[in-house]
Amino acid sequence: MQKNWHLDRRTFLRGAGVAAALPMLDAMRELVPNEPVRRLCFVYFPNGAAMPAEDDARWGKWRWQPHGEGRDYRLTETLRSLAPWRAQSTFLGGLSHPLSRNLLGHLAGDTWLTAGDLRGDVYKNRVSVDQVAARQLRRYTRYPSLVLSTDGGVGYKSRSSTLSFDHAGRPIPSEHRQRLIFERYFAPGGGLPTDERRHQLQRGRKVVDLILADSKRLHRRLGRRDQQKLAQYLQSLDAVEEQIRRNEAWLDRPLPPFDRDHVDLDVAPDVDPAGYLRAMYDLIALALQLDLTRVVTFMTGREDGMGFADQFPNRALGIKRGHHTITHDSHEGHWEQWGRYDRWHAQQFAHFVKRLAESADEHGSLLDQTQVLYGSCCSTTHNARNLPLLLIGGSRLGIRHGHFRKYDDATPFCNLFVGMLEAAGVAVETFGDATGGMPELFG
Amino acid sequence: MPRRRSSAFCTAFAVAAGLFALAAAPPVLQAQADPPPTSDYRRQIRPLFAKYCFHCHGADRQKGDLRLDTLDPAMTTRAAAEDYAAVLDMLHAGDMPPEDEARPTDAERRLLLRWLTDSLRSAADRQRSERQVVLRRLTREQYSNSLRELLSLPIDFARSLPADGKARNGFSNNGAVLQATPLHLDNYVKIARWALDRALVLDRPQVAHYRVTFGKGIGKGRVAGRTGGYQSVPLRTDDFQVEILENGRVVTGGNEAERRQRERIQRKISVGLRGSAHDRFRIVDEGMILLSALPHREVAPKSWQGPSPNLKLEMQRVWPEQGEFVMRVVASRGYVPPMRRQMLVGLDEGMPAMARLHDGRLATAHGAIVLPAARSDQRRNLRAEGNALLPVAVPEPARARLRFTLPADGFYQVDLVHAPKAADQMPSIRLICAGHHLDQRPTFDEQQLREPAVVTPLGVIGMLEGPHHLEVGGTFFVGFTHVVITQLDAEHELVRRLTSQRERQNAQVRHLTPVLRALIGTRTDDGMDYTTFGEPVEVTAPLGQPRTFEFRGRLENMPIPAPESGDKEILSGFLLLGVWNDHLVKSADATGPPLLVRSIEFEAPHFEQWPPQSHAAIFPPRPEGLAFTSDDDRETYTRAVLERFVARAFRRPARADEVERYLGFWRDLADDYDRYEDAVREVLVAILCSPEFLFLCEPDDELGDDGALTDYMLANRLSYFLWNGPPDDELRELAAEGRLGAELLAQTERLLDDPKSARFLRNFTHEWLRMDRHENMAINVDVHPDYTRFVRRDMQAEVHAFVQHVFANDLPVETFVAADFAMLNQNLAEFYGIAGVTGPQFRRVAIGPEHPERRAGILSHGTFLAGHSDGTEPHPIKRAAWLRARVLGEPPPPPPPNVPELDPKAPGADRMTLKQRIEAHRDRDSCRDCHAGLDPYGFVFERLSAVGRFEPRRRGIAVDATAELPDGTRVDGLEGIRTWLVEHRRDQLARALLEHLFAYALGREVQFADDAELAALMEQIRAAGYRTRAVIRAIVGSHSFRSK
Repeated sequence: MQKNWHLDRRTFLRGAGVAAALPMLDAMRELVPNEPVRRLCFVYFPNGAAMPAEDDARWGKWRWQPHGEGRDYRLTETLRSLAPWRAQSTFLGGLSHPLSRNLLGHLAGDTWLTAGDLRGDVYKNRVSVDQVAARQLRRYTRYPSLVLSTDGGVGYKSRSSTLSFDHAGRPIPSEHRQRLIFERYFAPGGGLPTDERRHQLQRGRKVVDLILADSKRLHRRLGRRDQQKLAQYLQSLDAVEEQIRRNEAWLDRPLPPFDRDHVDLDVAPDVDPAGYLRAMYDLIALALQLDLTRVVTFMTGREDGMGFADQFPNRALGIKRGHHTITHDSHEGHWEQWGRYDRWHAQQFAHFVKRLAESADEHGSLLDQTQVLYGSCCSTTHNARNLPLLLIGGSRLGIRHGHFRKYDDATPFCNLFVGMLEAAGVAVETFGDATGGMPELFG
Repeated sequence: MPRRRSSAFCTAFAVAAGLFALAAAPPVLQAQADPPPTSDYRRQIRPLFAKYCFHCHGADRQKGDLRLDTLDPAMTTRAAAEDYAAVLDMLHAGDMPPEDEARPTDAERRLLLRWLTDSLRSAADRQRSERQVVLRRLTREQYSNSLRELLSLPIDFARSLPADGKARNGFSNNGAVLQATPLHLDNYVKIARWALDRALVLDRPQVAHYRVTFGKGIGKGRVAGRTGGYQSVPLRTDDFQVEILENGRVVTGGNEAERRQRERIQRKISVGLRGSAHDRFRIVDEGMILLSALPHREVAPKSWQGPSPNLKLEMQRVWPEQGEFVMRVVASRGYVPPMRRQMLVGLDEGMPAMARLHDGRLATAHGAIVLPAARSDQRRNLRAEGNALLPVAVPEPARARLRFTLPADGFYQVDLVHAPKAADQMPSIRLICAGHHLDQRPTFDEQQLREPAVVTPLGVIGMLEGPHHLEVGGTFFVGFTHVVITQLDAEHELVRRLTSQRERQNAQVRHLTPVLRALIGTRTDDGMDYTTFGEPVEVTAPLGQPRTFEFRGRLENMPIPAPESGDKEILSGFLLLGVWNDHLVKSADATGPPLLVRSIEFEAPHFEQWPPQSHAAIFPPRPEGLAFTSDDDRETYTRAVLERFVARAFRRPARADEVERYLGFWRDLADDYDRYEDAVREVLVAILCSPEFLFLCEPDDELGDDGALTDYMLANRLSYFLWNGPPDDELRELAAEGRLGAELLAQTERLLDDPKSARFLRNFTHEWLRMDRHENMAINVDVHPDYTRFVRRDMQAEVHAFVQHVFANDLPVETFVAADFAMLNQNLAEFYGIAGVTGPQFRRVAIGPEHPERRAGILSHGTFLAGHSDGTEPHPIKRAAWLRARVLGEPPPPPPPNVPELDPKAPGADRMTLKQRIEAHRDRDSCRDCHAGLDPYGFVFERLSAVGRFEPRRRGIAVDATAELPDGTRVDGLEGIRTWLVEHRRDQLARALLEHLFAYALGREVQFADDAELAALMEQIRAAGYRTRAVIRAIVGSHSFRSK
């Protein structure tokens, strides 16, 4: 009963105020008429997916990847909820990061968007693909990117709780409390009038200037290693200052009105996992629609049973085991438990896709202008190859959807990223260990 | 001595793989500080590479871009080390050489693996040769503690900060790992403003002060709220009253507008018991009786409604959002209420009917309830005939339901008026009431059979006043015309017998003590988001002499409703404030010692003084107030304010030039603000975001000879180590006088004796012992139904109580693995099966040899055992890896990539224990080496279940907990490993603890270059008889700790 009520509360995007196209925010954009707004979104699930043998009549039903290939692939029970967008979907099989292929799948999770080299015992990751995109796309939007997860923070090696890494390869802390996310990005300044907000920003800038001066003074007095450490802080101060300037620049262009009363910002993930995930998806969709940012990552759970997403199977489906434990099971029927969870997870994702498909900006459907990559960094139990991957959306960006495309080890996963970046209008030579793009998919 | 520290994430890895990591890896690693002699390489290793590898990875071909013949075996460059690491991975996995090529023998492979592992480790250590403590940002908790003490505000300020990363040794205070990202900075600015808004209270806020008193009928004719909704259990407004207080007095009277305003608030305050079974609470004249709480089963959807029962005030948007609050509960011991459960009992042989027939007319006692058959509102298989209901098909079940209302609590006899039937018609009657049923087969004598009607007594019901229903019917039902319900008086023999049952129940719990536990939270759609606060208290006050119990907290720390959840929702914005009886019971039948709650009071914000201490500490009061006589006067005062704040925030004396800079900043913006304090506040925000507050700064230009720290730096190191927070006045004074260095050991003892040291021990213990694994472990409640959240909570508390006890009493290090005591409270003792522990507090409990499973210190703790299970069964490999990494300080090597799964199709795999499956699969050559050094440490825990309970038999079979340790010793169970550890590994235990504490104290990894210093510290520790505080003293006195 209350579940339905929750859902009703969250149908806000379909509500009158927002489903209508939002007014143009022309000044800040370098808009070309009829050009789509190019967006990128990455959604990750941990511990891989159920991949029983396709030919096993009993368990083939719960295979995450479809049966067959090419145009005529057949969805299994697991991803049935995504069937309505078949024409806007591409399944990718056989991809992996070469440097992660021999790593334990959990460790590969840190490298999903980076293709970093995590061998050796000094943790050194690379910049993640979303941040490469953010660096170029941020000039159009209020915020460079949103980095989200269900646990927040950065975690630690092989148990990362963020998908995003900065250009120095350092993890970017993710955010997970929906109320705080909302206040920070959708209602900065607590809804003050413009004048007060400007005053607030100016105050903020003065304070930051003062801290910056202090920090530089301190910097000179430190030893070499301490200086390196403080340099990070100085960089962060710069970034904060830049964001303040950015906020000032956007000040005269308030967000278009949107109906926020129906955003449920207080769903407890341990009580209502579906509600929690959907609320996050709603926030992402709203952020994209309002053009707060064009780049979003969302890690829906941490590897190896860390974090409370591990409890989702129990809370949502009454399966009395953690998600990680399920992925290790070998008892009769374990494929079904795993598959049911994968299906549940995909259903929440389908809610997001539907939301994007039903929302529009002045250029049309969000889904057609947004590439969403949904997947994990291992296939079946901790095998960091043949990753489960689904690229959905972005039809207006020139993507040839509708296939289950299979690759072998000769094609690094990064080739997909190169294609995605290009389709997103991000100019790059290459990314990670890519050997090229994917012309068959991106044209 | 065996050395530890193999590769980076061994433990994490080990557990990750669920550790069916049965492929090859080197045996227990014996690393050394020096790089392995390259002569080994020339003599033994290179020939093997040449034989198996060079033809693909040599001068002619470089498959996979790898060339081995010229690769530097000393691994002096990073690239060389990485290439060798790749070789190691390949060998581990058995991927190289390929199957169709010549492959090394097992012995050769082992040799290669060992050389690679050792060399890589040495190379890594050389690359990490810098031992310096690097600039440390305050961790979340340190930040919060610093702000808390600086502002005298007991608020958790770190809630919105991102979680800190963890170093590979598991500690989150590692300088190299701690980041300061833009997200952090953004938050620091926000938190600083938010905190100062709370510290500087300029206008006295309005106080919300309510008292809700419970008692049967005391709310009649008064105004109060009632909140329904999904699964709600609201209390009737008749049974409680809401009073509004001002300055401690109940407000009454006043004009119409004031009364209306009060009533508006009263309507917003209701009382709810959602989550409570109706037979576990009772409103009585004296108040509300709460039986001992039955923990909620960890199964959705009711698992977030609180234990049963719980009693809450539900206050909708009539409370402040910040400040200290006080809750006062007036309570005493209670009693098991009469007729706790409704009952239906059979009659004693020969008990007569209460109703009679005189000449066919029904005669009943005064007050009896007569229910004619025609009044039944549900019928099956019955037809009306005259005023009777008779079965249609006699052999089929018939049923008639009748509603009635009892005027008072009590015992009532139920009689049935019906036509008599001969025995050959098998007359039968079934009575259903109060969830029970009674069947009888009445027989009638000749005379009765001649009567048109008879009265058959059916049974006695014990019920509370109010509406009820019953059913009569059954197969071969005799039919009926009336049901008569007659109250039995208290002297009735059956009544006396039934009443005495309650006295027995009360007697059974008389020696037990109810416990009051306070909760606060937010009402959610189907439960509550809540936390308990304060300490639970035992309520010994006898019935009739209640006492007042006070609980305090800060609203900011509590999960109270979010500010704009919106009053629009009828059921949103409810602050819950309540209690339960924390003498937890294990079954719904048990009453436990009942608690009687008379009233609950809520007051917020509560001030001990005005202006509050937090304000006065920043703006010291002046006799003339803040009305300044001149600009000079104002500036002098401001300078003093800033100087004092900077000194405390930066944890060192303020420098004149920096104070002038801040003062200049204030001068620039003073005119922008209407109020003097607001401009100063802006400067304080900047100070709180300065790196000198956020980092533990140790500038080079202040260091003494050999990098010696100043006394202020030393005070910081010491207090952030032993208090996880800033230095206090005494440390600051000693530093100011330059005496801290001399008194370092005395100060160490003082800090350890201070309650604030619990913050250090909690934090250290949590990360050292990987208690997060237990927090997050999903336990299978079908298999372990009594593993409740309270058991989980108390298991965590057990570890902290134990570690604190060890350090408080300076017990020797081996106590961690061999103790003849445990730290328990009643709930946990009952779970473990230890008798004789009552009450919620943890205390030292002597454990005799009859409980060997509880005599191994942290190895006996549920936190470790359940945290290293798979949720259903024990997990010997996780347990083993933990023991080696955390207790012995020698983490096992990581499992190789792509570990093979245990074969699910293996016959009988379903029915084998994990131990058996592991043993079966260890038969693979490639796995045995590594697991021989690992698994035995896990097998010794086999008699402890996935939830840490003693389990000598599993699946009907006696559990085998024997193991042959790598040194050849055969041990059995916890007793065995405990003895072995104390007799053979005492030194190693101490060394492992030393290394963990050393890393924690300095906020960095321990390195090989630390060996000499650690060895010297070990001498001191040995000389001090391995006392735990000696470990801390040794670290604090060390060169590393006292210098940069």
